[in-house]
Amino acid sequence: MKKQLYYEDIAVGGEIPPLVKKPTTDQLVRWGEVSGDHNPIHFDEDFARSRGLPGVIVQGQLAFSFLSQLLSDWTGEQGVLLKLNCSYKGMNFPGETLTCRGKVIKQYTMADKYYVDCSLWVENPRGEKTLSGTATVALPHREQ
Amino acid sequence: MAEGIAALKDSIGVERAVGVYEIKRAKIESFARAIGDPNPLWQDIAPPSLIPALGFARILPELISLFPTLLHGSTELECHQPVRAGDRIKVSSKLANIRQRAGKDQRPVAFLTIELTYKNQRQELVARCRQVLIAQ
Repeated sequence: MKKQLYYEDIAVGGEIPPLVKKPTTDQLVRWGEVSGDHNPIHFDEDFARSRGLPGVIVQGQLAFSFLSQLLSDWTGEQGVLLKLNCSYKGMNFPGETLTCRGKVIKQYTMADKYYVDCSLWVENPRGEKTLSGTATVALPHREQ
Repeated sequence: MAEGIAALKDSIGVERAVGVYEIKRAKIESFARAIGDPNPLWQDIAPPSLIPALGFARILPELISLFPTLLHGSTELECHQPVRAGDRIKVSSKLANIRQRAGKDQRPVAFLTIELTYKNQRQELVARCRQVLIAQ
């Protein structure tokens, strides 16, 4: 089990421990199978090139799942993801190391519940942000 | 692109059933393996990122056939309760709007906003998702 994060443990500006992912062509195929996304731009090198792409590209929603994992790894079992929004800013390619990062932008309480808003992004090996977004997570409080 | 937009005009605002998805434990586990997330939580509870994957592939082929280029612009997921093993999730979608503007190279670009709703076997709202697709 991941270590539990509590509301008292966070501070605005605090960084989320980065998550490093390296999607492979096999992973693209497997994600295609479980999601039913059979668009050949994710599996077929020649097809992808015929569409003007440099090669097969990582499914946007597979990269979205990396941001979701970044949050669940950080918040632990009792953290509840309420919102996760992201824009796909650039293409990701299999074999490249993707670093998922984030930081706390706001923490607040509402109706006796504890929330944290974060900004999140995925960086490719050239330091470009290929995904960027925001999330809201409900966290437990030690004294409740 | 104008033909693609014309073909979709009548579906703006119309809610359509996409499908009903049985969330078996094996499905959760294979999804978690596929995304490379070994968190032991993902046995009885589905990773939140499984939700936007439900039925998304079923709404794509029609759009791919209408536009020469279709890119994913954004995903906004709002979770109301966790999806658990044993749930049956009913997905419905509607094309909320189409916005057109000139792209960087002056070619027109259309932003298609699709709103999806996910309800469980008790008709409770589980999640909503807004997907923006960029068509040229």
